[in-house]
Amino acid sequence: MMNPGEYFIEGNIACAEAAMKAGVKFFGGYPITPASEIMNHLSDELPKVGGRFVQMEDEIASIASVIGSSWTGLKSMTATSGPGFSLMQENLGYAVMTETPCVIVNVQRAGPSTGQATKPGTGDVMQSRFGSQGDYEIIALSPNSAQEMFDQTVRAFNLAERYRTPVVMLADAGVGQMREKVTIPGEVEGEERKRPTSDEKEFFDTDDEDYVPPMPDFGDGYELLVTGSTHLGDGTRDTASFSAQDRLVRRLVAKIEENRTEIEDWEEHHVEGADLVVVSYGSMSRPAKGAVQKAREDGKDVGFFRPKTMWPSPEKRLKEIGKNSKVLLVELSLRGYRMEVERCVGSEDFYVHDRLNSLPTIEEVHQKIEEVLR
Amino acid sequence: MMKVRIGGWAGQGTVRAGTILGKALALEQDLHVVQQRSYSAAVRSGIAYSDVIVDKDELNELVIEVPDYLLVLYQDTLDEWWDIAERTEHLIVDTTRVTDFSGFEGEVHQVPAGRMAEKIGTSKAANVVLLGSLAGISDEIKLESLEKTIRVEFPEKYVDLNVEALKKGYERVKR
Repeated sequence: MMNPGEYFIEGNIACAEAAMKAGVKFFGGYPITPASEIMNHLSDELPKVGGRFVQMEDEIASIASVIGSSWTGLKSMTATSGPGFSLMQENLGYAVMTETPCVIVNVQRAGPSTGQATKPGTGDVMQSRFGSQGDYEIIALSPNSAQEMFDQTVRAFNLAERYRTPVVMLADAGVGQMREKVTIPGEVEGEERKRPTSDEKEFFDTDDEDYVPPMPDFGDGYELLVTGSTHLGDGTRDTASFSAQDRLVRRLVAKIEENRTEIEDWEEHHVEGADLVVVSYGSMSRPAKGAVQKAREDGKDVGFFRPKTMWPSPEKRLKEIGKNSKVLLVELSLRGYRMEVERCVGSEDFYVHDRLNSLPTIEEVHQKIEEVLR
Repeated sequence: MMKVRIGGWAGQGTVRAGTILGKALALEQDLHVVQQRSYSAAVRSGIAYSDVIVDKDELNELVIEVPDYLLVLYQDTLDEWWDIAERTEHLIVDTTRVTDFSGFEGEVHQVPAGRMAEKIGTSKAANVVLLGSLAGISDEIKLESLEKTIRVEFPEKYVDLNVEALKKGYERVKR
């Protein structure tokens, strides 16, 4: 683990270092471009800080091992990219249903399918939210620099522990593989999951305001059944009754939905009353922000808005922006975040600059801004 | 803003050179730096290059269309990039492996980096020789910051060799 200080490192390395700072003690994964550096680095470093590293036979087993280790009380993670993320979907749903805190880093590459392994893309945004079957809500974060690969990885662990839920880090090959200066702090604020006090028996139901029940570890002695089937508060399967399904699934959704103001995070500049607001995220948001700065230097009233939590989306803020300004979505995919942004800001005066394979220059985005303002 | 591209053939240390340059500018000169490597989905061989973009302020331009400084270590790479090379301000070539730049209209900084490195001990240090030359040509890139970085970046037994390579490259263009 790196000592506190300034480093010139890749985003993926920053992610791995942040995970160790946040207290990760288990990594189970399978190598895939452009995420392998995270795994590679942790295979060297995690055992040195008392953690365990396992290369599994595939991505299905990887996320399964992460869920299992989380139930032993360890902060656990995996890292993958598009095709591997697809394989993880079933068990991602299992982690949601069993309320297992874990972090899944998806360093997105150009898809669909195996696509272009070394090229960036952000086509997995909807998948991260809707990829597994059934009704659920999830938390997904979007970093746009090597420093944010560090900061948001720490936050991902904290949110996972706080809300007892899987958290997806939606990075992309751009931020994962670029080297930048990263400041590694001495300590980071670390959240720990709610643990049971001795007399509790319900670990899958709660009347707590935050909708988060306490979570025991394997071996604590509660004889708890952990199942992906619908279950009652004490873990007993109930695969038929209305009340069990209704109470459990509504709470799982409410756990994210009702806490969204605490979870949502974004960056914005000059949004108030702007003629046009550029919405962008991930590595693509860098040239998008540069283009906004350039337009403002020309005297244009253009704002910038960057969701840092993709899910829950900053819905309320996006709706306000859509009411008052034209919106230009700039993204590194054709269908990435488009439906959600358009849903929030409305189809009127909604414009898109999409691109595949590689990042644009600032000038390319700037020309689109000029075109929209004309 | 300053944009540098270091290109050659896989195995020539172009990404290594880009990392050293980026690290020197980011950590020793406290500038905003983004360094990216490009590679394709092949095990080995092919064009490999590294882009380094530098600014005093927050850096949002992540793409180099035409670099201010283009360092080339391999003929095939230059042939592939001819249109970029023609528009760059400073073309710096390792004349050990780049021999044909006829038709190039601007000034070409010619450094026999491979041969110079070989004399010092290994032709593998050609990338570092070219970095030294880059520092000699550019006002913004300080030789001292590159040297400091090399001293921490390389295993101890290769430090002296690389520092010498760096200085030789610098002196070559300063003469």
